[in-house]
Amino acid sequence: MTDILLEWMSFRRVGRMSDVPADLVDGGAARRTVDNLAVLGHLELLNGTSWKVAPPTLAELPTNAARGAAAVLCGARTPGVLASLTAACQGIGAQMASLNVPSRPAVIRVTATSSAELASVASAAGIPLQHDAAFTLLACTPAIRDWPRTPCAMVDGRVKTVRRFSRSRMGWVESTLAEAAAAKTGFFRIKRDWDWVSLLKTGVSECAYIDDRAGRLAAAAKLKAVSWTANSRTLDLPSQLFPPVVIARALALCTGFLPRYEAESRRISFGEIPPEILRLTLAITGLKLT
Amino acid sequence: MEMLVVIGGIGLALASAIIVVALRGRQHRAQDKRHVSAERRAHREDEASRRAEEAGLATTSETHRHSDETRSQPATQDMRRGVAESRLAAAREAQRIAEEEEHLAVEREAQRHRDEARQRAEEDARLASAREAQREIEEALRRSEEEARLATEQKSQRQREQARQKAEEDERLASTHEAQRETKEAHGRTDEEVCRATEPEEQRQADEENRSVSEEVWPDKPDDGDREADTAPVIERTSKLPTSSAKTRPRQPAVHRDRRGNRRASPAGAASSEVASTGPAPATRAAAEAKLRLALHPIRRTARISVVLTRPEGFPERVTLQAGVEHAIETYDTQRYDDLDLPWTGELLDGELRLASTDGFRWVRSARRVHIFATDPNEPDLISVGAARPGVVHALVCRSGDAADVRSAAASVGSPDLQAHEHWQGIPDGWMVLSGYTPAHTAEPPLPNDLRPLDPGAGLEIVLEGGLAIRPRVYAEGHPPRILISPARNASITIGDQPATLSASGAWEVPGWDAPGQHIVDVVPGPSASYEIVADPWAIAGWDFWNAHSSRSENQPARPWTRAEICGAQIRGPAGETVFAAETQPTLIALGLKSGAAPLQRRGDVSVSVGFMAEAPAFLLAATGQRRTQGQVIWLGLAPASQDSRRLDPDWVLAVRSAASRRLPLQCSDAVGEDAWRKTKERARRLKRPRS
Repeated sequence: MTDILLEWMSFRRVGRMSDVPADLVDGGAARRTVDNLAVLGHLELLNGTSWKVAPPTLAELPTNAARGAAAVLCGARTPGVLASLTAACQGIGAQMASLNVPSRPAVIRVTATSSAELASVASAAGIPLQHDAAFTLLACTPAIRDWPRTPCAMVDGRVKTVRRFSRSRMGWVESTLAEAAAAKTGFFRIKRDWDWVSLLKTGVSECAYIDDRAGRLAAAAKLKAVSWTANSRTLDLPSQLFPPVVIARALALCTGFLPRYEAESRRISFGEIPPEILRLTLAITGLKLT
Repeated sequence: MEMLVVIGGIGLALASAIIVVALRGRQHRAQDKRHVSAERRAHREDEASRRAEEAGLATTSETHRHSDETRSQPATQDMRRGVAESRLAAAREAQRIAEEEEHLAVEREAQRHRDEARQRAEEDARLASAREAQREIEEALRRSEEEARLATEQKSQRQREQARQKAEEDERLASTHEAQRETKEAHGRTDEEVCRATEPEEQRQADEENRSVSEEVWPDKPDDGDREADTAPVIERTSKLPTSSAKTRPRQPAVHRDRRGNRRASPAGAASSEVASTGPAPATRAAAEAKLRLALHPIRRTARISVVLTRPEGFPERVTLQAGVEHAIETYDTQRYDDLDLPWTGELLDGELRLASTDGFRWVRSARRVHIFATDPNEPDLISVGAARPGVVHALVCRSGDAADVRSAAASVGSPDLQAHEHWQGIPDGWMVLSGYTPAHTAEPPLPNDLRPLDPGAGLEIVLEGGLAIRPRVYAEGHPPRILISPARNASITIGDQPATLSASGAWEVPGWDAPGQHIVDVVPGPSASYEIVADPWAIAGWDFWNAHSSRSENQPARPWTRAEICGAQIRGPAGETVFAAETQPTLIALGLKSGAAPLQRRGDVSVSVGFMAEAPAFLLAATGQRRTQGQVIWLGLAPASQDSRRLDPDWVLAVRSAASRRLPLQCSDAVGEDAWRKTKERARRLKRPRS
C-alpha cells in the first residue's frame, strides 16, 4: 500500500500529516510512515507538521565491484516516471529491478555496467543522476557539534516533566528543572503545559533549542557506540542515537533501504556502508567505534 | 346643746357623705380615666399584637393577657408596671420585626448580587465564545491565503523553469548548428590532410601550429558552440523556491471578505491574469462549470443574481474575463472564484451562458427553461443545482409565461403551492421567482423534457467509488473512480454531455471518462455530480526543487558545502551546479571532458572536500604529491557524451597536461573511459597555453 501512498503524495505534491489517508498507511501511524519516506529521500518534512514531495532523482549507490554501477530511484513516483525510466533502461540495456519491501515503497534499482551507462540512462529518462549520493550528502551536512540551534533562555515556571538523556544508560532518565538549570552540559526534554521542548546545555547559563535527534547525538559525543566490520560493512548503533534525517538518508542511500531494527539489542543497522562513508559519518556525528 | 350636736352630727354626716361622694366621683373618674387609658392602651396593644401576629410572633396572647390583667387590676403600681412591660414587649416586637426586615433586606441584596454575578459570567462566556469563533474564522482565512500564496509561488517557479528550458533549447539548437559547421570544417581538414599526406612531417606540424595560433587569435569566434551542451537530464528543474520559514514570510494583513466573494459595482481595470502553467493548454482544456447564486431579500423585496465560476485543478488564481467589459476576479478558495456580478437582464438566463478568460479558460452553463436553486451548507444564499432533490426546498427562476407549467409540474411531484415573486426589485420584466418548491416524489405523469430537472426522480444517487482521491472528487490519472448510479431506472445518464453506458462491472462509462480534466455526471431526472481527473505531474510540469535544508547553514560562512542545496536525494549548487565531494587530499580537481577544472575546497572540521562545477565532471584528479605514484586520475563517467566545447580553458589545459606529463594512472575506467582520457590529453596538447 505504501507504493500507492507515494503515488498519492506525488500527485498531491504537498500536504499536512493529517491529510495522509489512513487507508493508505500500512499499519503504523502516518507520522512514522512520512518520517520513513523522508529518510528514503522521497519527500521533505516542512516544520515537522507538513510534507512536500521531492523531485525524482536517481541516487547513485557507493561503488561495488560485484554489482557494478547502480542507483535507486528516490522522490516522486508516478506511472509516468516509472514508464520513462523503464523505457530508458530498455533502450540502453541497463537493468531495472523493483524490490518489494513490506510497509515501504518498493526499491527501484537501476544497475549498469558503468557510471557512464548509468548517466546515459538518467539522461534518456529525464531524471537527474546524483553521483555518489550518500557521500555527497554527508559532505554537505554540518557536524553535530555545529548543528543549527536557537539560543534560548532556560525554561522556568511550572513544568510537567523533565527528562535528561543519559549517555551511560542510552536513554531518558527523570530529572528536575533545577537539575537542568544547574547542569553545565546535557540534553533535556521538558514538557510544559502545551508542548515539549528539547534543550541542549553547553554551559550553566547557555542553552539552546535543537533538533531532538541532533541533541541526543550531541549529548553522546565521543561515545563508543558504533560498530562496523569490514566483512559485513554493516554500521549499527543504538536506536536512541538515530541520526537526523539528512544523515540517516545518506546512510540509507548506501542501499536504498531503511535500517533494520533489532528489538533485542535495541540497535539499528545500516547495510553496505563503505569505509569512506563510515569515516565521514563518525566525524560528523562525533561517535566512535566500539 | 343637743340640737347643736345633732346638727353638727348631721353636718358631719353630710360632709362625710359629700366627701365620700366626691371621693367616689374621683374614683369613678379615675376609673373612667383608667378605663379610657386602658382601652386606649388595649387598643394600641391590640394593634401591636396584630402586628406581632402578622410577624408570626407568639406574644399577642401574652400582651392581651397582660392588658387584661392590667385592666382588671386596680389603678396601682402593678398596672403601671404592666403597662411598662407591655411597652417593652411592644418595643421588643418592633425591634424583632425590624431585625427581620433587615435580614430580609440583606438576603434580597445578596440574591441581587448573585444574580448580577451570574449575568456577568454568562456575558463573559458569550463574549469568549464569540471571540473564539472569530479567531477560528481568521485562522481559516489565513490558511486559505497561505495555500493560495503557495500555489502562486509554484506557478511562478514553473514559468521561470519554462523560460529557462526555452533558453536551453535555443542553446542546444545553436550548438547543433555549430556542430554541423565544425563537421563541415572537419571534412575540409580531412581533405587537406589527404592532400598533405606527402608533405614532410615538419611542414605538417608547422601547419598545425599555425592553425592553433589562428584559432587562439580569433577572439570573435561565436561562443554558442563553445558552450557544452547540457545533457545533464533536466527534469523540469525550476529555480529554487524561496526559503519558506515562519521567520521570513511576510505577514499579510487579514482580509475579511464576505463569504459571497467580492462584489463589484463596476468592472475592474484591465489587469493581466496569471497563465496556468500546469495541465494542457487552456484551449484544449474542457470548460468548467459556471453556477449561479440567487439572493432573495423578502423584506426589501429584492432579488439578485451573480455568477459563481468553479475552479478545477490547474485553473489560475486570477483570471480576467471577457464579459462585455473585462472583469478581473480572484480565487475565493480551491473550489471556486469570487462572484461575478452581471446585470440580470431579460436575456441573461435565456440561453447558454459562456464565459472565457483572456488566457483561454472557459466556463459554461447550459441553457434551461427553469433554473433551480437550493441552499448549500458552504455557501450563503441559494446556489444553482442541476436537478431538484426530494424533500429539499428549492427556488425556481423562470419566465412568467412558464409559471403555469412549472406550477403544474410542482403539483405532479407533490410540492406545496409555490410562492411567486414577480415584480421584486432586481427581477427583470418577464421573469419571476417561485419559492417553496419541495418535491416529494417522482413526477406522475412524467414531465416534459425541458422540465425534467424538476423531477426528483426515485431517490437517485450518484456514487463515486474507489479511485485514488487526491482531494474530494479529484482523482489521480490512472486511478479514476467507478461511477455508480442507483437506482438507474428510466433515467438519462450522461457524462460530459455524452450518453453513458453501463459496463460489466456495474459502473457507468463513456469514452474518455477517465481522461484528465473535469467531468460532469448528469442524471435526468435526478441529480448531477462532477469529478476531476488530475493529469500525471510527470507529463506536465514535474515537481519543484527547493533548498529544503537551508537552516543547516545558518550563521555559517559561505562555502560550497554550506551553499549546496539539498532536496530529497539531490544536491545542487545555488545556480544548479553539480556538487562534487571526495575525501580530502592535497590535490583534488574535478575535470570536465573538454573544459572546466574545479578545485575542491577542503572542509576544516571533517576530512572531505567539496566543489561545484557547471557541468558534470568527467575525471577527478587526486594527488598527494608530485610523484607518479602519488596521484591518479579517476574516471567518473558523468560527462554527457555529446559535450562539445571549443572554449579554451587554460586551467583545464594545465591540469590535464600536468596529469598527462606525470603519466598518472587512470582508475575506475573501462574502454570508454580510456578513450575519453586519451582524447582529453590530445585536446589539451593542442590547446596549450599561448606563448608569452
